Amino acid sequence: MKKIFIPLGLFVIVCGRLQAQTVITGTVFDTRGKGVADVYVTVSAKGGGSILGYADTNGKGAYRLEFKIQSDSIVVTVSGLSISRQTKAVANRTQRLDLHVKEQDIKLKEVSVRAQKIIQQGDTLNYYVASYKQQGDRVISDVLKRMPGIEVSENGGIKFNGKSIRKFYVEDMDLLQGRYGLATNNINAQDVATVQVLQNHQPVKALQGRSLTDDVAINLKLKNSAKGTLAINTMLSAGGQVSGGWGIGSRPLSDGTAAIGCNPLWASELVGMYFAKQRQNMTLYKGNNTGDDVSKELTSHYSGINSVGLYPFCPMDAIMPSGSGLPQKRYLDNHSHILTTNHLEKVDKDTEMTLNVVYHHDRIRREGTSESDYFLSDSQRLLSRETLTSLTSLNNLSTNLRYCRNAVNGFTANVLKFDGGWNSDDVSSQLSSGLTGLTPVNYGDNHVSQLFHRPSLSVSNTLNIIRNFGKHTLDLHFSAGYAQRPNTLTVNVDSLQQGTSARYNQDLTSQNIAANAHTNYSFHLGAFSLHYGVVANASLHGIKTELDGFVPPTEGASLQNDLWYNTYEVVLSQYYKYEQSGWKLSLGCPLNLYTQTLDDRIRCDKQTYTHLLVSPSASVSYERFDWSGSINASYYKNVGDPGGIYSGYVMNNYRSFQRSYVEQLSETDRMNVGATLAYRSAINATFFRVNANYSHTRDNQIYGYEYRGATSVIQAIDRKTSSDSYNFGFDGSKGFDWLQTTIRAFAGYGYSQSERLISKELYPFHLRTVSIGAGGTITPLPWFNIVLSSGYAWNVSATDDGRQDMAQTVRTATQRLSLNVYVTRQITLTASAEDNYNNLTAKNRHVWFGDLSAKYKLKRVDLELQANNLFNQKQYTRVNYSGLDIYTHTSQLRPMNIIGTIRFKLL
Amino acid sequence: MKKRFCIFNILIVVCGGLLLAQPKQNGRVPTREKRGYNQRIVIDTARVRVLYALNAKDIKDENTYIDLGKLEIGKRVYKYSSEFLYLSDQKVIQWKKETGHKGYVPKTLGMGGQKEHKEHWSELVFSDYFIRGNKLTEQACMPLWADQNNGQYTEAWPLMKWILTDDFQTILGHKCQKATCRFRGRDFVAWFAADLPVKGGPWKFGGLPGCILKVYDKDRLYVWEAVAIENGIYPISQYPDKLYPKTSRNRIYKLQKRYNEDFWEAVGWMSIEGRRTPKKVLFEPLELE
Repeated sequence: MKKIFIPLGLFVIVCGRLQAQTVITGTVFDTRGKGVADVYVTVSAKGGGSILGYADTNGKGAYRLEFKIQSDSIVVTVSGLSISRQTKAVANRTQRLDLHVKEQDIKLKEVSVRAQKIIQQGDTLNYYVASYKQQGDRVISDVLKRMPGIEVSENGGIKFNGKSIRKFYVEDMDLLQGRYGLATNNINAQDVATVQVLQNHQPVKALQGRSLTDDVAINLKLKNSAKGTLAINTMLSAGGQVSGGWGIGSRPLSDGTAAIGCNPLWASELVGMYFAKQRQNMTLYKGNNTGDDVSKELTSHYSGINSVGLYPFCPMDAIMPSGSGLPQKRYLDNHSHILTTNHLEKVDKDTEMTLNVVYHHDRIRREGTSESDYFLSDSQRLLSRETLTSLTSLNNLSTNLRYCRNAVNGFTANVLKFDGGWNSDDVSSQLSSGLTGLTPVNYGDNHVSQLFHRPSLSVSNTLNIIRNFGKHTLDLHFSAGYAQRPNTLTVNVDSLQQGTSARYNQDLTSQNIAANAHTNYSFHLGAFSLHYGVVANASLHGIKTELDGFVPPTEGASLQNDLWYNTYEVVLSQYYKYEQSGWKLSLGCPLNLYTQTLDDRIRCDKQTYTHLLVSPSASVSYERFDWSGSINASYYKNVGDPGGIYSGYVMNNYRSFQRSYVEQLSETDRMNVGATLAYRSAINATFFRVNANYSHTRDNQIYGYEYRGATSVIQAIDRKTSSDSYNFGFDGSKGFDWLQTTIRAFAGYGYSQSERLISKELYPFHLRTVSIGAGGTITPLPWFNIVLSSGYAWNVSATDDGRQDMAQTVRTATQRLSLNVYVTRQITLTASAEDNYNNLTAKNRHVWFGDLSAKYKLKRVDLELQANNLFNQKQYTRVNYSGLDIYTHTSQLRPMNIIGTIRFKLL
Repeated sequence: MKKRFCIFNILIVVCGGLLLAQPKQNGRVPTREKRGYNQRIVIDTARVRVLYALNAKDIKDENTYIDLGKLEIGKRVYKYSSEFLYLSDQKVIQWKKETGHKGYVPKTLGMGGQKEHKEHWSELVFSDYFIRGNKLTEQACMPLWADQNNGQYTEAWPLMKWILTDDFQTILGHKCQKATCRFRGRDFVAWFAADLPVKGGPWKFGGLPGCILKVYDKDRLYVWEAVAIENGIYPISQYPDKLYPKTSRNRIYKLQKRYNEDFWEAVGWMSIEGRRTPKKVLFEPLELE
């Protein structure tokens, strides 16, 4: 028995030693030596992950840990929401261990699996921003681009499933009145809870349930923390580039091959935002010379918001270096400043006042070479090469004051708009040209300078009143405005060939007075609705031009115009709609009594033309679950336009002189048929749209081209012409929960047939275009994200009876790859590569670009370092087709540059 | 045949257990006024909150939850309450403001969760739990017609004696360690994230060295799982004390148990037309003692 007890005793002693209880006591101190209460201390084995014991600190910061562990050393950790986590490895023995921590508010990483990324509630799709936001995303447009079904274009315009949105709201209020790029590029992604896509959106409450639309709108729902608080963000950037020299202010025009941009590079921003229930405000300044076209944010994306169209006639322009088609930061040499304030005040729950004021100043320098390859005949082409440098000065001011009462019992809106611009282009170029083919001719070299002053001014007011009377709806609308353009284009052509130098001066004073009034009356009868309206339009164009220095091809042809061309329309509109069980049928047949008067004071000719125009249209659509399809057809006739009534020559540009009056007004008939099939599923995050279109256009006039050297003289000829075009398109996107993946694809095919009149000979020709592309984003590892996009396009045009070997196929391709590495929660590294290819340039068919950026995010400060154009590409060539002509543009690029940016959140 | 019979019996027991388990299927939603839905007083501000799905059939679909609970973490106070109920209250407040309506308001407006239980009551949805230091206070709101019994009590917190284990799983991207305890008659399993320095969890759970992201009883009758961690500024508010007189936990517990087990009988419902009392639904309370 004794024998048994001895080993048992030994076992107990050994085990007791191995499992001996360790007691650690101590105090947790802050940086001031004060005990920290309500935090907790844990212990785990060194190298092991599991917590073996834990204790809270008391009011004085003291703690006591008791645990049993076999390991020689242990890890003691102190944690809490108000302190930085502190870890200490110590020997596994009973001891006193005081710990010192820093006070720091811990911010937890946001994460959510709560819902599907997209939830559908009736016609509203809710995209949860947290589900799409990635670490590098700063503003809401970064996240919008990741959302399936939503497409953000280069200029900031938003489409949902291929359809442009008609309204953009922040917290259900339309502060920016179409300039929603200001919102998407400045509202922090972390402040937005949900992006709502409102389908079949009717913004007028009085028409909700009465007049259904298929319009789409977007509403940003902010987090509570972003509501009712003033947010002020600021940004400062500085950097340099490897060439281009140093300088502040404008540089002299050079030979067209100088680098874009100059040192030092700078950018700055100050953005203030306030979104509350009663008022919203967004005021910002942005400026830079880094090639960032901040004026894109000022683009109004609402089309035809009921205001009268004001288009003072101006057919003139300076010939400028063409854009490269690359992202603007690569080729834009700018000094941009924008200043805007937007304020919305809710007077009561249905009434709001909105003021938008926008000012844009810019000085844009462009350098490049344009080569034009004009079709003259099947055996001859005109080649011209022009090296250009230009400086454009822009000063634009736009204001918009809006009153709106949008109540269930009625709608009243009044918009007063003012737009003014003082803009000019100064261009210097070297032109050489010649004929190729059977009889080659060299037209020699010319030095050309162009100066185009193009100020403009417009003011308009629009009033809209809608009232319901039982089942009846009355819609009254009145809009009127005035616009003016007093423009001058001056050109000096210095030629080495004797007697061919010239100085042209084109003056133009163009005025447009327009008014529009319409009233609609609707009657609802079950699933049927009948809409009748009377529309009255008046548009008065006063055009005065005077051209000096041009010798017209026919003797006695005038170089002056002084005329008033007025149009008056009275339209009886009638629309019939049927809506039932997902079906929507509509039939429209407006009757337009269209009167035009021409008072040509040079020719002492007064004419009045009156036409009855009928423009029928019909559409059928059906929607069931996630599928929708529609077929539509329309026909319209257009008679006359200001561009087709002047008899004196006008210099379009120094290489194109045009007069367009023939005895009859131009008449254009257009027929259009289209079909669309669309699918959108919030559950599957799948969106696609297939569409097909056919259009046939018939004109009673054709523009005839005559070439005098590199100069074209264009005259309207009384001869019928027609064109046909066919287009097929597909675009789709799908989001996957798997690895936060979104894929997109698109494809398009276009075929058109048309005619060109050159030297009195008619050339029927056709043009084919094919484009395909795909892309997507995937996050294979929590710290690694890939964004890929790829696009290809083929273009070819040829005369129908000409030799096919004259036709050149233009092939272009672009591939972009971007890799984001989230090194820590604060640090994001991004590497991007881009290949641009075209098959027509003699060298550098593939142009590679590479960019790097590093972002470091602190609580209130973001730091970013960018290195752009790492391969230091200096030029880029773009080729494009226009009818039978091929244009090749070579643009100078911004050289390799480095920019450091710091962003503060002031409030 | 015998085998089939056994399986059938097992199925009945299991399904019966599930049916028995459903919280929020008895009492009726209380009126808003007696609850004090628009008289809340702000007592602290949370910078972070954790949202929990209660008995989710599909964790990604809110419409399958019994409730969406939230733990708001303030400097002085932690509060666990129903986010579905809060959102419904906010909609009513907005609706009243917009319409200028002065009378009684709907008991629920756009209440989230399972459709069939939108009009049902559960203490897990209609009670608010406040943790101040080592004390827990429950403001308990009783179902319709029983809301004169609303009250509040305070008890020590945390009362769970946790045993840590070596098992881990990842929830919301956080590595979570398993802990077990027995609390008021049930065995619970909790998964806490040591890298989230918050001592709380859903309902009365807490006291672990990290935020509890998932917790359930061993029969999985009650399952809470975290579905979101959100940063922001969230005012922590409580109903006015005058609407919730102080009482004992024992009284509140007995009332809640009774209303859960047989609401109609407990409130003394009697049909004027002589209709029969709706069928009693078997109920398995979360706390057994």
